[in-house]
This record gives sequence, structure tokens and C-alpha cells, in this order.
Amino acid sequence: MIIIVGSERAKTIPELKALASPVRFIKVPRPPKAHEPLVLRGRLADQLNQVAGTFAAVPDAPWWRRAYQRVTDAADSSHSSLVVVADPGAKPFAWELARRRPELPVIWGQSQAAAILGLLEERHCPVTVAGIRALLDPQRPAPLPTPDLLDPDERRPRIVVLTEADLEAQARPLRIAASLAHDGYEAVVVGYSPSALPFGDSFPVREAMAVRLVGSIEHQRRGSAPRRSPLWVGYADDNQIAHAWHELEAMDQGRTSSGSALRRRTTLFRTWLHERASGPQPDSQRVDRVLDALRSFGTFLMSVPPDVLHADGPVMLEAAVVIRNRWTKLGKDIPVVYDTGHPWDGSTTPDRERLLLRSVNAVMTGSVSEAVRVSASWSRQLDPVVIADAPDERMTATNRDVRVDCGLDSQVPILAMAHPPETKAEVRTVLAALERLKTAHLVVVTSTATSADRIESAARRNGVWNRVHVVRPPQAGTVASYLSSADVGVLPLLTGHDEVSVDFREYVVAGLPLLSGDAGTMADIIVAEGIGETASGSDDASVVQAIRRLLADRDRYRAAMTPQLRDRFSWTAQSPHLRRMYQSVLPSPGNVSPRGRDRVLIGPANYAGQGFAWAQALRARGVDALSLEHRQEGNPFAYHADVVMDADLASDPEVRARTAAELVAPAAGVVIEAGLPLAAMEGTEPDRTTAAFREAAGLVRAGRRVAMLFHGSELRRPDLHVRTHPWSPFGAGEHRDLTVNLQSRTERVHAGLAAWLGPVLVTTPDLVAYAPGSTWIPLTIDLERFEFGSDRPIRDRPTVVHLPSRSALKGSRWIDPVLQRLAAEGVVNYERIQRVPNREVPGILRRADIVVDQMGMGILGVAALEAMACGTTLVSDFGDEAEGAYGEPIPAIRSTPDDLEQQLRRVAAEPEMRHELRRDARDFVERHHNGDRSVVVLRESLGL
Amino acid sequence: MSQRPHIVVVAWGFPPFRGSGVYRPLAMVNQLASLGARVTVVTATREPFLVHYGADPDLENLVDPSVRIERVPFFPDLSWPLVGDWSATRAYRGKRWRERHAADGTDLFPEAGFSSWLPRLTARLRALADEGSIDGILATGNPYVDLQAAVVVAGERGIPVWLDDRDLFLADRFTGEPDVDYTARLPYFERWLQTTQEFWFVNRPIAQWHRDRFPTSADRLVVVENGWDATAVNPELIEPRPAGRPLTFGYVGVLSPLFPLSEVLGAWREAVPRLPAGSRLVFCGALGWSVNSGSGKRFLRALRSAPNVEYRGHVPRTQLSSVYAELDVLLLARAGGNLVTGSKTYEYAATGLPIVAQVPADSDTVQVLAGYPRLHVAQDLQAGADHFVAAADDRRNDNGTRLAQAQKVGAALSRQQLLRPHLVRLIAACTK
Repeated sequence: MIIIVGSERAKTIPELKALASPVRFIKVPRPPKAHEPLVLRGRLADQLNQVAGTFAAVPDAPWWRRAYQRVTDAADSSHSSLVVVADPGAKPFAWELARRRPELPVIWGQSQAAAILGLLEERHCPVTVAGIRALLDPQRPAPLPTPDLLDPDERRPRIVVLTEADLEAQARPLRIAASLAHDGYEAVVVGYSPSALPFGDSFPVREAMAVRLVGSIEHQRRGSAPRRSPLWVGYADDNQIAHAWHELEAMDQGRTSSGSALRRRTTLFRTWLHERASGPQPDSQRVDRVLDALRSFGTFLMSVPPDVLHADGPVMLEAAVVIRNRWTKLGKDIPVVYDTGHPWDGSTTPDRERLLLRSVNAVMTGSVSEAVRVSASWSRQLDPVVIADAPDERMTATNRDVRVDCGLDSQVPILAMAHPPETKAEVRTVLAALERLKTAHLVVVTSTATSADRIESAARRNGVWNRVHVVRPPQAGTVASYLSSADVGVLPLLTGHDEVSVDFREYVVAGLPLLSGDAGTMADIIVAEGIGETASGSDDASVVQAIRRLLADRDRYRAAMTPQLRDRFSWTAQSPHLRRMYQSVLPSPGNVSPRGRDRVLIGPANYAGQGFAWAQALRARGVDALSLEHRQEGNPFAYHADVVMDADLASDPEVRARTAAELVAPAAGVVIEAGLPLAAMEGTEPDRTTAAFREAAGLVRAGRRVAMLFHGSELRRPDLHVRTHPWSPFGAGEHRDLTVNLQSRTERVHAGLAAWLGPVLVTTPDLVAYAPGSTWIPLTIDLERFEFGSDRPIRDRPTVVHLPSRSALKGSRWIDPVLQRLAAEGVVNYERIQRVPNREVPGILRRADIVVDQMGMGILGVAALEAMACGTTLVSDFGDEAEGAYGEPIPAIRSTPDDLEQQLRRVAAEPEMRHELRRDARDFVERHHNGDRSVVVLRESLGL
Repeated sequence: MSQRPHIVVVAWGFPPFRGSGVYRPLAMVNQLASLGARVTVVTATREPFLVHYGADPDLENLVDPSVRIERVPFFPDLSWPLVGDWSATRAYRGKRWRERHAADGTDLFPEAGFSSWLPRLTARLRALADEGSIDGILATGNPYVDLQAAVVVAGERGIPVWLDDRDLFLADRFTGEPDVDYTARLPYFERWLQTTQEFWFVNRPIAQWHRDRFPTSADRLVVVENGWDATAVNPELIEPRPAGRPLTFGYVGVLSPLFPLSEVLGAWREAVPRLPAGSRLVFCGALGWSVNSGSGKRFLRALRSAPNVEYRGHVPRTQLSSVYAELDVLLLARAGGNLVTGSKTYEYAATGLPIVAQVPADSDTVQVLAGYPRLHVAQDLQAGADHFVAAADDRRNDNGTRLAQAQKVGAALSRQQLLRPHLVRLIAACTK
């Protein structure tokens, strides 16, 4: 199908009409002038919040989303589609589309498209992006969907774990990703965001990164009546859905659809009747879930190319296969690994699963029984690998504690159940024992209201409700740590299991003595290792006795839980299997890549090129470091940075997630500049500071060393500056808007700092007063670029340069008139320079005799130090703090607007004095700003 | 050395390209082949012409079948149609992107849009040289990457090279002003001058322009005129005598902003009453600037307001012969600056019809037509009108002999005839 997109109605040219494919026009929007996120306020927001329950804000759908859906739905309905861009207004939309669906050919211009299609047809070539590229210019290198952040040799194979699970509660995907990241892969977990933040969020999980994207409204409301997508309407039973699936697959592989329109219509009608008769089928929900995953994650997975797709559960497997097929079209082969999920959750059917398993490269299960089930239902010979759900001791830290949650002191014995009892009989047995124990309390961890209700009513009947606590589960993966202050871990008493359960593993890792029934594998282990007691569940007295024995001799049981035993039942025993399985799918480049593991990442402000300067200083002293800059288009200064990202592009959620995975996750130390997030998703403009602090906190939780660094304006509160600086630019009311903006920005920074416990670095000494406890990190000057001009003549009529980065903040309103006057009198030559690229600055400074840096701020900034490094005489208003911080006089002329003219006349008249100052100034910068001190500060604050 | 020299012709613009620059290389190639050379053409792939620049696949049938064609992949990046390969700026801020990227690759070679082709072209020429003996390279521009690649490879392998310039590398052809990239281009041009056997130009003024600036190389600067193509004009179709019908005056060619419209129309108005009743003036040719621009509209309005004047617009090359057959007197007017000699000059001569020329007497056009018996050069308004009348009489009073005479002069101005001596010389130099 030829889909013509245009921002206005366009006539289809006859050449296109003449081709065999059907043509359809879809009107698409132009981008909004400025990015204005939709935040609803007032009554409408209240109403929506009521309707949607937890909604804090309405998801801010990107401007292209709706049309994107229409175009892609239309494109997916035909086995071979091409999008033609009819007018320039539609170019931005087309680009957003092409970037997210890189396998879909999007062509600019109707006549070009007609010619290209004609040529492809003539040569019997399929209409694919690769085909068109080969047709027009086979030697043109194929670009990556998004710009590379790292050198190709630095990149590690990327495994994307797709999951439907709530990452707050289900630790398995996180554990797998963290483990793979530790083995040298780049691992990203992609799941649903629990909230409706505009773009979702991301957080590091040890070396891996979890990205949570906003699902559809349907996803948020799942559980109520599922809504079906038009594409899938018409398939009710398994065969029909399998058929539909085949069709979708065929489409993705470029084969012709096998079903005729008539047959589809018949099916549709039959389905409708079927639904009328029997209500919605469970499978329709599954199909909705697959589509939801494709819509929510599909864009991300096409812009952040995976090397392996790891599907958690059958629904995600379906999504993974579709994504894999899209990439196949682009010539990239992506293996799919299937984790069947644990336990069997019924979200697929055996037939369906069998069908899907054909496209899978490796299978893992959570238990042996599940592995047996999968291999039995599977015709192909491929052994599922069993990776049990075991707690990872490196991930268990939590600040929640079961005793604190229940308000129980350390004397009260606690029996813990990591999951609620499975049967009524089990509940009865446990509660009967509790009744006879008198002092012990029972804690049941559950997230479902029904099991909580069941326990409550039973406990009330037994009269022990005052000693029963039902608690919600702690954060995923932290159950063992959470329960470690309990006394006994209770396993099923009535049923014997062949396999070691998750609870068993959690208790062992938590160091809890165990109580279980007397049958099954776990009972055998308990007896053999002496780590607990077994009892006959049908005999209440035996259970009570077992508990008494456990409580009486806790230490003995705990002592039996040796580190070896804990290793056996923790993730430590599982990760080698996972590693081995993945090595067969996609070998990792080595256990740990040499670069990246102890890297320091500095960004994203790079004001005055300092982020890069520090990264370079660190590298020069053997510390791996990388600077990142989010650069606004049109930024005139063009400072160096290791990675420069277009700020517009960097705010894109996919690029954020990619930055998180490629740059942030692998870093051991992170310096967050200016209260701006490196990769955290952010919604609206004022959220950026919040996002930065949220990002910092998340990184600290994930074991990174994080420092918050401030350059000046974002920390220096205007209202406070005015009090101490009589010439402050914020006082006179002349820069009203600037002052108001900076006031609110600094207030947000200070609010964030109030809750920030980590190190704070500031670039000029005066800032220490604004952030008590902060450390001054001296600015670093590139002494080679700003070389000392020793051979310069000392001129009688000196050239004075003033080159403010922002004239409002640098007091140009006082400087300009004085210098213009002096120039008119012939005392000096005056050069006023603004917005020049940084590469030109050394040249400017070298031809200057005197630089007037700023008046009113009271700082010794980068431009001043660069001037001094070149041996240019500096006239500036550096404050007392600067004078004090160095412990020596600053070899420059200190001046204020009051005496600026007088000082300049003096300096101009005394060339000898200037000559004497030159070498001193250079030595001063070499002493204090060569990077040595900055690196010491960075090392100390990051604990390197 | 083999009896049939192997000559490589480097020409980006080659069939199926349908631009005006294709005919000279095509004729060179065919004639080299017919003169006995083994010819290999190195050109761009067909797709950029078919998809972007405009193509006429029929032109491919005109290429001598013995010619080997080597196509080097090329597609102009500024027109790359796959949106997925674009950058965000290109999609969102197209104008800014174009400004920023217009000069991409010019550090490689100062010719925007083509410079990125240079490495591929050079590589292919080297591969050809590796394959077997090349006795000579003839490179024709623009684009000038053709010349640069040829010079580079010829220098490396010691192959004699001839350079053919259909345009002007260092200056604007219409104004004679130095090109904006003059300083960047000059070193290349100087190297070309040092390397090449001969440097061919399409007319005397351009050759002179170069002789003035590079006097030490003056002996290598050769004028190889364009001439007319049999595909554009067929002298046999011209009617020997206009049997008592009203006359049709015609202008064929691009109407550039330099066209002296008011002078021509003024002379025409003066002449109309003195011409046979029903005589018309027909303008055939595209406007050299946008029809919708202010000056374009003014131009057309002026044309329409004049008496007995008709504007026909662009005439495809295939229909040119029949257009000429319809006309009785041809109007020749300055189409460009002093450095331009319109290709129509030669076609006009081929017809053998009377020509009214409103051009300076010292222009190259007049020199080209120096031996043409039916030229009426008009330089001012009054004279212009007289010449219209004189030319009309010339046509009406001819019994066919003057036509035959003039056509004989015109025949010597065909592309074949004009190219031949130069190509013969080239082949002789290659067959040592």
C-alpha cells in the first residue's frame, strides 16, 4: 500500500496512481511551535483524577502519536507498504515515523517515490528500505536509527529484557538483567511504568538499567472490560488467533497474507456471534496485552536496537517476535530468549506457545517441572535451562524491616510467611499453632486483598487476629532482607513439594530458621542441613513443638546456615547457568569490559567546557572519565565534550533511555552538573531539577557514587546575592525577568539539596556559602590551548577586551561606558566581543593586553582565569571569598564599578606593572587551575 | 601500442540524463568510437537521473553499442529521499540544514553537491587503469569532479589526459565574475593546466578569458565549439519557399533575464505594419527564472501585450525539428553574458533560414555566424525593425538557392564537423 502523508491535502500525482498498489492519503500534523506539555489543571484534572484513580497528570502524548498510530496501522494492514511525504510540512512527522519504524520505507516527494517504485517493480525487487538504499546508492553507509553515544568498540552487546511484571514487586527480570550486566552485557529491562508520568522513568539496577514506559490507558485499566484493537477484532478461538498471528508474521516478513478479505469478514461475524454467546474470551485479553506491549515498547525497541530480546512470559514473547521480525527486515538478526515465566500463568495456550517456540533461540524456566512441561509440549529438541527464582544477596538491601512495620520489639518472636498459605487447611494449621503459642506473632506478606481477607476472617475466628499481621510486599528482590529480623520462616506444612520453593530460598538467604511439613525435597534438606524443623502438618501439637524448638535454639539453626549453603540457594548458584545459556546465544565480549566499569560520567551542562576539562584532567591521571553535554542548537560557544547530544533530541524519551543504558548505567561515579538530569525522564520544564535529584538518589541506591556539582547561576540565589554584593545584577531591577527565573530555578535546586545527603561540589569559592558543607572544585584551564604569550610587546596604548558570556550577569552596563570613554580619549583600544565560539577565545585573549571580566558578581570565573593563563592583565570584581580561598594574593587588578575607570587609567598608564603581573598571573593559574586540585576533589567526593 | 587506442571518457552527465550537458559527451563518445577508438565511459549510475535529475531512456539507444559504460554509484545527498536517513534538523528545520550542509565535502574538492563523488570516481578510474592499458583520458565537466578524478589518476599512472570544459570553473559564465570559491578552486585549475594535453572550451570568449589569466598555458587552451545536433534540427524539413503565406518569425531558446525584450518588442512593433499581413513572432523556450516571480510575470505580460506575439513555452528537444520547420525567420538575441554562445546559434545556422540578430557586432555569436549568408545584425531599435523587414524579404524572395547555400554553410557548423578534427588529433596523440 502507498500511504501518502501530508500536512495539507495533496493531489496524488498520476505516476503514483498508475502503480499497482492502492494509494491512501493520511493527513498528519505539523509539530507544535514550542514543546508545551499538556498538564491539566483545575476541575477537569480533578474529574480525570477521580476517573483514573491514581493519575497525577494526564500522560502527555507526543504530537505525532495519533497520526503515527493511523499510519502504522494502515502500513501494517498490508504486506508491503511505503510512505510518501507529500509536502515539507509533513517532514517532521515523517521523520518521527521513520525513526520509530526504520523498516518502513518513508520517501520524500511523490515523483521520486513513483520513480523509485517503478524501478523496483521493473527489477522485481521488494520495496524495503535496504532495497531502496541499494537501488539509489549501494555505497551509502546505512545510518544507525539514533546517533551513536559510544565508540563501536566500547559498546557491549545489548540484551533487552521485556516484561509485563510490576518491577516493584517482581524481581526476576531485574535480577536477570543485573546478572547479565555483571557478565559484561549491556542489559536493559523494559517494562510498564506504574504511574502516568509523561514519559515513564528509568532507574539503575546495579550495572543494568530498568526503563519503564507508559502503557496505554487500556493497560492502566486492565482488569475491567478489555477493549480490542480493530486489527485483532474477529479472532476468538485459538486457531483463529494463531491464523491472525501468522498473518501478522507474514506481513512482517514480507509474504503475502494468506486470508482473503471475505474470509476475514466471515470470521469477524462468527466471532461476534461467539462473543455474544459467551462473553469476551480470555484470549482477547492476551491479544490486547501483546498489542499494548507493541505500542508502548515498539518505538523504543526500534530506536534502541537490541542484540538479544529476552521475553519474560508468553505475552512478551509474542511482542518480541514481532520486534524481531521488524529488525530482520532491516537486516539485523536478533535472537530471542524466552523465559516461560514462573509459575505457569495461563496467559497463553499450549498450541499458541508451541507455535511461538519455533522462533525462539533459547528457553529458560523457573523450575524443573516447568522445564519438563515445556520440553514435553515442544517438538524441537532444545533443553530449557532452569534458572530458579533465587534472591540475589547483592540486591536485597532495603530500609524496610518487618519488625518496624509491625511495631514489634526484638523480644517478640515472629513467624514469617513470605507468601500467604495456599489452602484453607494450611491457614487453619498455622493459626491453630499460633493460638497455642500465646506470645508469637505471625506476619504474612501478600499483595492480594482476597488472601488478606481470608487470613483476617480465619484469625478473628481463632481469636488470634491481634497477633497476625498482613503486610504488603517490600520492593522487589528485598524480601530476604526485609524478613531477616523475624525468627522463623514458615513453609507449607501440609503439602510436600518436589522442588525448592522461592520462599525457602528467601528464608535461607535471610538466615531464618525454617519450619516445613515433613514431606518433600525441602523437608529433606532442612533435616540434612539442620537449618530448621519439620512437623506433620495434620498434627497441631507437632507443629507447636517444632516452633518451640526453633525459638528456643535459634542460634544453632542460624549457625547451620553457612555461607556455602546460602550461596547454594541464592542467585550465586543460578547466575552461572544464565551466563552459560547466554554465551550460547550471544557471546559476551569478556567478563567485564575494561572501560566503563570505573568510569566517571560528568554532565550534562558542560558550562564553559568545564565538564570536559575535568574529564580530561581525570583521564590524564589514569581515571576513566567521560563528559556529556546536552547542547541547545545554536549554542555559539561550542565547547569540547566527549559526547554532545542535541538538547532537543536528548529530551526524547527513547534517547533518554538509551543514554541511561549506554552512558549512565556503566558509570561507577557520576557527577550531575547544574541540577540537570543526565538521563532521567522529565516531564515539564520545572521538573528538570526534581528529575536530576531523583536520578541522583536512584543512582546512589544502585551503588553509584554521585556528586551534585553547581557552576553558579543555578545555585547562587539572587535574593541572597543582593544582600552581600552592592553591585549585584539582581538588585537594580534592570534584569527583572532574569532575576525571577534564576530565583525560581535556584529555589528548586535548594529544595533538592535539602534532601540530598551526598557530596556537593561548587566551582567558585563564593558558592560554598550557598550550599553549606559543599566543596570547592577549582576550575580547570587547558594550559596548552591558553598558552602564555611571552613574546608579546607591552603597548603604551593597550587593547582592552570584554567578552561576557551573558552581559546581564557580567555587569557590562558598567564596563561598556567606561571603556568606550577611554577608547574615545585614545587611552585604550576597546574590543567588545560576544557569543564567539570557544575555539576563537585563545586568539582573542592573546591579542589583548587587558581583559575586563565582570563587575558585580564577585567571582573569579573561567574567562578571567583563561585571560590570566594567557598572561593578559585581568581587571575584575573577584570577591573576598576568592581572595581568601587561594591563601595568597590574586595577581590581578581588583576593581568595582566605583573605581573601574580610575583603575583602568592606572593600568593603561603603567605598562611595567602589566609586564610584571603577566608571569605571576600565568604561574597562579598553573598552580591552582591545572586540574590537580580538581582531580583530588573529584576523587575524594566520589571515593575513587 | 594497439592499433585501436583505449580512451576513457569521464562524463557524469551521460544518457539517460536528459540535461543539455549530455549531448556533447554523447557526441564525443560516439565519434571517438566511429573513429576507431575503444571507448569506455565512466559516468554516474542511472538511478539519480531516473529518480531525481530527469532522464530520457531513449537517449541510451543513441550510444554506440561498442562503447563500454562504467557506472559509479552517485546520489545527491541534498536530495536523498529516505526520510529515515535524515537528521532531526533536516526534518524539522530544512532550510537551516541545507544552509549548513550545502558546502559538505567541499574540503575534499570545491564543488558542492558533487565533491563526495570524487573518491568513488577516482577509485573506479584507478581500477580501470589496473585492468589494462588506457591510452588516454578525456574528461568533460561540469561537474568538475570529472576533471579532477581524471587528472589525479592520469598523473599517477602517466596517462595523457584531455580536459573539456563546457562551463567555467573559475567564474560565473553569465557575469564573468570570479566564482565565490575562486581561491579554493584556483590551485586545482592550475594543476589541471599543468597536467592536461589540451584544455577545451566551448567558445572563443571563454578561451580568451583563460588565456588572459594563464598566458603561459595559452597554447594548450583550445576552442572546441558545440555545433548543432541532428537530433535537434533537421535541415531537410525546411520548406524551400513560403508559398505566399504570412511569415512566422521565431525565437527558440531559454528566455533569460538578460533577454533584451523591450528592444526586440519595440523593433517588432515598428516592423509589424511593414510585414506581410498575419505575420507572427513566436517565442519557444522556457523562462530562465520562476514563472511566478514578479519579473517572470512582467515578462509574460509584456509578451502577451505585444501585437501578433505568441509564447509557447518550453519545447522538448524531440519536437525542435518540427518547430524549426514551421518558422520562416529566426530571431537571435543575447541569451547570456559575453561568455555565452547559445547552442541555438548553431541550430539556426543549420536551418539555412534568414536570421535577425539583436546582438553586439563583436559578440561571439556573430563570429560563429561570420560566413553565414543570411545574417541580419541589428543593433538599435530602428535598425531592428528594418532587419525584420529585410529578413522577411530575404525569405519570401528566395527560390531555394539561398536556402541551400546557407544550409551548406550551416552544415559545417554541426557538432560532428566541429568535433572531428579535435578528436582525430586526440586519437593520433594516443596512438603513438
